[in-house]
Amino acid sequence: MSTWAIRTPGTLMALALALCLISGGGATWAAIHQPWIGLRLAPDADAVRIVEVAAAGPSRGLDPGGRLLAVDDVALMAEDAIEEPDTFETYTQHGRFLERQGRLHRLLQHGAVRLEMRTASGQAQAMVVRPVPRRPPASLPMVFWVQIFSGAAGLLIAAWVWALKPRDDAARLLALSGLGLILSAHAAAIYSTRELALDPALFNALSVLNHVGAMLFGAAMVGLFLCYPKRLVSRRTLLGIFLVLAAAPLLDLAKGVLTPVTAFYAPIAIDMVLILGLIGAQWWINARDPRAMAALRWLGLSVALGAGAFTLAIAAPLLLGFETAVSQGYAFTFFVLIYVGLALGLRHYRLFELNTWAFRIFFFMGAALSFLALDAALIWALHLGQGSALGLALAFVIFLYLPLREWLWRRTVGRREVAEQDLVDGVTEAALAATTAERVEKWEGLMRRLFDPLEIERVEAKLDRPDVGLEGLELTFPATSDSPALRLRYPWGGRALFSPAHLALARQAYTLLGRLEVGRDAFVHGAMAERKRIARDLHDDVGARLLTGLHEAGPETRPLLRAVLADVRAIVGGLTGERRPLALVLADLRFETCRRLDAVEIAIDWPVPEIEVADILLDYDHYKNLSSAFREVISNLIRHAGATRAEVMIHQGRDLAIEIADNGRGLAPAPEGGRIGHGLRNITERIEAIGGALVFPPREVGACVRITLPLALPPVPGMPEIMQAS
Amino acid sequence: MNTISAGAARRTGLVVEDQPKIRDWLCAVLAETFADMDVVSAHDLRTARAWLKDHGRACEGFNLALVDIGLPDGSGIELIKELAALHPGVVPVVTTVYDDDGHLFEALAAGAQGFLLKDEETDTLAHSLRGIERGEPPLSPAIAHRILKHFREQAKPAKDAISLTGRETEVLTLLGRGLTIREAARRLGLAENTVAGYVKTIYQKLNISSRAEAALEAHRRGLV
Repeated sequence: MSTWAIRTPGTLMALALALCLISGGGATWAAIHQPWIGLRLAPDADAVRIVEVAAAGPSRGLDPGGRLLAVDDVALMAEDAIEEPDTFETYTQHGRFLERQGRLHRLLQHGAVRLEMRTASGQAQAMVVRPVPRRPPASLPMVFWVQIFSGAAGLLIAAWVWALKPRDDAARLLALSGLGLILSAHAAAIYSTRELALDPALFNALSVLNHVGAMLFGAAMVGLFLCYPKRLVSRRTLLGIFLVLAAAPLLDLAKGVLTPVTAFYAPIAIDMVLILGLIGAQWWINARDPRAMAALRWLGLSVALGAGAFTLAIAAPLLLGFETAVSQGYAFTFFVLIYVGLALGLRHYRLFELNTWAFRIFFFMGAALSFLALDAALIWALHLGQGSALGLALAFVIFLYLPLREWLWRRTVGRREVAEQDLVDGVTEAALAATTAERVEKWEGLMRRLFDPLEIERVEAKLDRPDVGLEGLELTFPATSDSPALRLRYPWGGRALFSPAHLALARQAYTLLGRLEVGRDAFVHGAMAERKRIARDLHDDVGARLLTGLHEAGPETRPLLRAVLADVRAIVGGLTGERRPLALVLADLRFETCRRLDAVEIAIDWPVPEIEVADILLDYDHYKNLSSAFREVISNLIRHAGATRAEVMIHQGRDLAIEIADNGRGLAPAPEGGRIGHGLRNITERIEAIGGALVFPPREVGACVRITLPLALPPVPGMPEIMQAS
Repeated sequence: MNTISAGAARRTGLVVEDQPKIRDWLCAVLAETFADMDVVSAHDLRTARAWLKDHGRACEGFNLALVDIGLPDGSGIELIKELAALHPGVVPVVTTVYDDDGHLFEALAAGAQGFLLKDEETDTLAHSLRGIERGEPPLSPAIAHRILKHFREQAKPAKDAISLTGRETEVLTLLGRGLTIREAARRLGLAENTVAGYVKTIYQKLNISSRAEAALEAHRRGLV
C-alpha cells in the first residue's frame, strides 16, 4: 500500500467522486434499461396491488387501487413485488421467486402482454399492454434516488476523512465501510425499485453485491472500533477479525441449514452487537482521556443511533416475524447519519461543544425512537387502531417525556446556574482580599471551585479575555492586576472538556474581576488622595504655626514644640502610608542626634556597622514611637544628665536593642516617679504599646536606657507583611 | 526692607520667608553668625525678585539666600532656579520644616546648595551656616538616599550624561547610614575638607543632572 503514488487529498476525493458517479450512473442505467408497463406495484396481503398508474404510460386506462392478478399466463403472488428477497422464509421460496421473475421478465421483454386484474370495487378487468423497452427516469420512485444519494454521500464522507489521513487505520476502515455502503445501497436501489421483474441473473448478482457490501460495511465498522480511539488488538488480529466478518456472505452457500432471513440479518445483528460492545470497551478504556472520550461520543452516538435505528426499524421486526415498518431503502439514510457523526469525531470537530450537541441529538433521537417504540407497542400489545395509538403515543411524549428532558438537561449540561452565585461570591472575595498574596490565592481557589482542573499553571500569555485551547482540554486566563496568566487543564479531574458554557462562565468571572479591580483601585486611590490632602494641610498649616510658636516660645517650651513638630512629621508620614526601612530610621536618628549633641558639645560614640544589615521595613506605628522615644531620651540627656559623653549601642537580632548611656549624674535610685518625669513615662508606655520594653540597666557612672523592640512582629492587617530579619 | 550702604564690600544675606517671626529669627541668626553680613529680607517672590534685579549684580564674595519653599505668590523653587542661573554669586539655601519633604529634594535638584531646618535650635543652625560658608553643605541621610536613588534611576546614560563617581557614591552611602562628614572621612581615609567638597559637587551634579533630565523630558514631549 505504501507504494501508491497518488497521495494528495484532492486526488483521493476526486477518485471517490468518480466512483460515486460511475456507480450511480451505472445503477440508474441498469434501472432504466428495463421493460416498462407504466405501473407502480406493491405487495398486499396475498396479491399485488396497483398503487399508481402512469398517466402517459403503456397502461393508461387502468384503474389504480386494484389488484393485478396475472400477466399472460403467470398468476401473480404477493411476493413477486417484494422489495427485498432476503426476507423469504426458506430458500425454496427464494428459488421459486427467482424462477417466476425469470418468466415474467421474458414475457415483458417479448412484446405485448395481457394484464388481468380486479378493480378496487371487485370488478374483473383485462387489458393488453405493450411494454416500453426503457423506463423513463421520472418513473423511478423517490426511494431509488434516496438510496443512490445515501450510498454516494456515505462514500464521499468516508473518503473525505480518509483523504485527510490516508495512513490511519481507522480512516482506512472507514473508507472501506463507505465502499461497502455504496455497493449495498446501489445494488438494492436497482432491485428494490423494479417495476415487477428483473432478469434473475442480474437479480442474483445484485443480491450478492448487496450482501457483500453490507457485510463489508459491518466488518469494517467492527474493525474501526477495534482500533479507534485506542487500538485494542494487534494489526494481524484486526485483519483476521475483519476477514472473518466480511466473509459472512458465504453463509448464503449454506442453503440447506439456514433461511435467507437468518443468513443475512443474523450477521448484521451480530455485527451490531459487536459494535456496541466495542464502543462500550473503548469507553471504559479511554475514561481518563477527555478528548478521546469526546471523539468517541460523536462517533458512538451516531453509530448507536443510526445503526440502532436501522436495526429497530428493519431487522428486529423481520426477525420477530413482523413486516418492516419502513421501506428498506429509506433506512440507508440512517447510515448516512452515522457517517456524519463519524466524520465529526475523526476530525475532532468542535469537541469542546460536544456535550451540548450530544445531549441535544441524543435526546431528540431518543424522543423519536421512544415515540416509535411506544406507538408500535400500543398497536401490538394493546391492539389499538393506528390512529388512536398515534394519538396516545404523542400525548405521552408531550406530557411525560419533554419535562423529563428539561430536567435532565439542567442536571447535566446546565451546571452553570449553580455556579453563578459561587462565581459572584468568589470573584468578590478574590478582588477585595487585603494583600496581593491573598488575592492571588483566592483567585486560584476560585478556579478550582469552578472547574476542578488537574493542573493550574502560571504562564506568560497575551490575551485580553479567557480562551479555550486544545479542543477544550485547556482554558487560559489572562493576567489580572495581581495574578499572572493562568492555564487550567483537564477540568473535572480529567473527566470532561471545557464547553462553550464554561468558557462563557470564565469570561464572566474575568470581566467581573476587572470591574471590581477598577472599583477597588478607585477607592484606594480616593482614600489615598484624601489622606494626602489631610497630610498636606497638617504639614503646611499646622507645621507652619507650630514653627511660629516655636520661635515665640521660651526655652522650656521649645523642646516640647520641637517634639510636636517631629510628631506631626511622623503623622504625615503615616498618613501617606510610608513605611521606612529600619536602617534609614536609625541613620536619621544618628544624624539628628550627632548634630544636636555636637551643638551642645557632648561627645558621641555610636558605632556604625561596616556592612548594610538586612532590610526591615517599619510601619508607621513602630517608626513613630521608636523615633519619639529615642528623641526624648536624647533630650533628657542634653537637659538633665550633665554629661560630657554619650554612647549608643544598637544590636539587631531577633529583637532590636538600643542602649543609650552617658557619663553624667545618673538616674535617681528609684526609677518610678521623681526624676524620671512625664516624658520618660510617656515614652515607656508608647514603647510598650508596640510590644517593646524600656528599662534602665544599672551603671556605675551615669545613666543608661535600653529600648528593646521585637522585630518578629505580626503583620498589620491591610498592609503587606513585614520582612523578617535573619 | 533694609538697605545696603553703597560701595561697601560686605557680604549680603537674603532671607525670603513669609512668616514674620521666622523671618526675623533667620535674619538674627544670619547677622549673629556672620558679623560682616548685611541682611535683607523679602516676604514674597515678587519682592525678592525686585531686590535681586536691583542689587543682584553688585554682590561680591560669599552671599547667601535663605529661601522658603512655600511662599504666598509661588514656590521658592522657582526663585532658586533663577538664583542658580542668573546670580551665581549668591548661594541659594532652601529652608524647610521637614527634611524628608518631597519639595526639599526638588529644591536641591533645582540648584539649592544645602538646606536648613527651621525647627532646629539656633546653635545647630549657626553651625550649619558656618559649614555652608566653608563649602561643607549639610546632607541628611534621607537626602543622601534620595540622591542615590535619583542617580540610580536615571535614564540610560547618554554620552555626556552626569553620573556620580565611585567615591562620591561611597560618600553618599556612608552619609546615608547616618555618619557625619568627619566620620565618613575617617572611614574613607580622606581629609574632612575633601569629603565636604564631594558633598558640594554632589549637589552641583544633582542640579545639572535634573536640569538635563527636564530638558530631555521637555524635548521628548515636543515642548522644545
